[in-house]
Amino acid sequence: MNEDNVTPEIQAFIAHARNRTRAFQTQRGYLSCLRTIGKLMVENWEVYCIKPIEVDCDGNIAYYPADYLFKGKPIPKFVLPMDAGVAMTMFCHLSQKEQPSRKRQGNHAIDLTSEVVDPTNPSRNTITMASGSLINFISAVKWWHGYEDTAKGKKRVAFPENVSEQLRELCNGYKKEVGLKRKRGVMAASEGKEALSQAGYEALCRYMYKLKPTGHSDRWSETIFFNLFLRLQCATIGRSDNIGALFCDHFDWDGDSISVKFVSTKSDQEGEISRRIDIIKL
Amino acid sequence: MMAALYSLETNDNIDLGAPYGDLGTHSVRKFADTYASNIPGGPLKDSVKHRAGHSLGKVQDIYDYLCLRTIYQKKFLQTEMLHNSATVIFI
Repeated sequence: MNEDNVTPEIQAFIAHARNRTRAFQTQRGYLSCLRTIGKLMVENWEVYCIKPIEVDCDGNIAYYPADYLFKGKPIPKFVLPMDAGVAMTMFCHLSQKEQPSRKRQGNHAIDLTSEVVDPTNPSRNTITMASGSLINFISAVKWWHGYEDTAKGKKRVAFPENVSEQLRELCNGYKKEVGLKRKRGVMAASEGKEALSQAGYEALCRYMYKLKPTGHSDRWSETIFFNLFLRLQCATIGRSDNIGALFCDHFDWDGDSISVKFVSTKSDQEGEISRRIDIIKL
Repeated sequence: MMAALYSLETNDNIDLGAPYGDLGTHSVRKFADTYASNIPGGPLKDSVKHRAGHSLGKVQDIYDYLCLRTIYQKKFLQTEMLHNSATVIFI
């Protein structure tokens, strides 16, 4: 049976089944990445001398409808499949874009302001995005090629193999660039959240027991939730979303201990292993 | 939780292990992971990794105090490492 002959309802049904390869949260993150890329492209349309986004008959930038997947945030219509030149220009400029610092920066060993700016690498002495973020942006564009929604006019397009290879090279180079920047003290030495100290954990536990309701915002239930969350997370070494998703069926007794079952985790998204963890209350 | 951490750092001057901005709910997981894998004679590192759901590849977030102490020939038994375990509910 040809796929074009089936009814629009069935086509939408098939499209949804195809789109399930990514989790809902991942898709939402990817859409956010696409919006950022779209914004960068729209702002620097003339500077880059490329046309990555479709233009309608009046010369305005074409957007998918505002209720597309998530309400109120339109996404520009990228020209797909993406040209190698367009993709490289887009991601090179994205990797040069200055980012606001979120972490404490290291001490600069040298005066960075006195250096002559290299026109081929203007972001040498500025904070740019982490290498993981750039990989995420590239994954978003790859995912967008394969995404399908027949009702809104988004068709499935194959991602060109040569573009994929060039972007992989760009990523490898950028990782080394970020590593050098960390070494020179331009960017923060580590990424992500830090571990809590033992003194900090004990203080947090003590703080929890002293919590009292203040006005309408904090209630007694907050103390109970805080207690439960903190102890479960510490005992199971679990991710916060896994702890939040637990309910009665996931708890059981096993001898003198409570067993907790994580149905699916970040490292096991299909839930094949479904880890069971036992807790003994001392 | 973030309000609690902010209050502890600014009002009570407690060393949380990192600046307030670098902490989050994931920090508790990292703390438990680091703590469990650094008790002398404690659980095997592989079993801690299995409990935490890490793949047995390169996991960089656990700071190996035990290995560090072995290299520098420091004391293994430190009171702050072994006692006060009543607040932690490991096996």
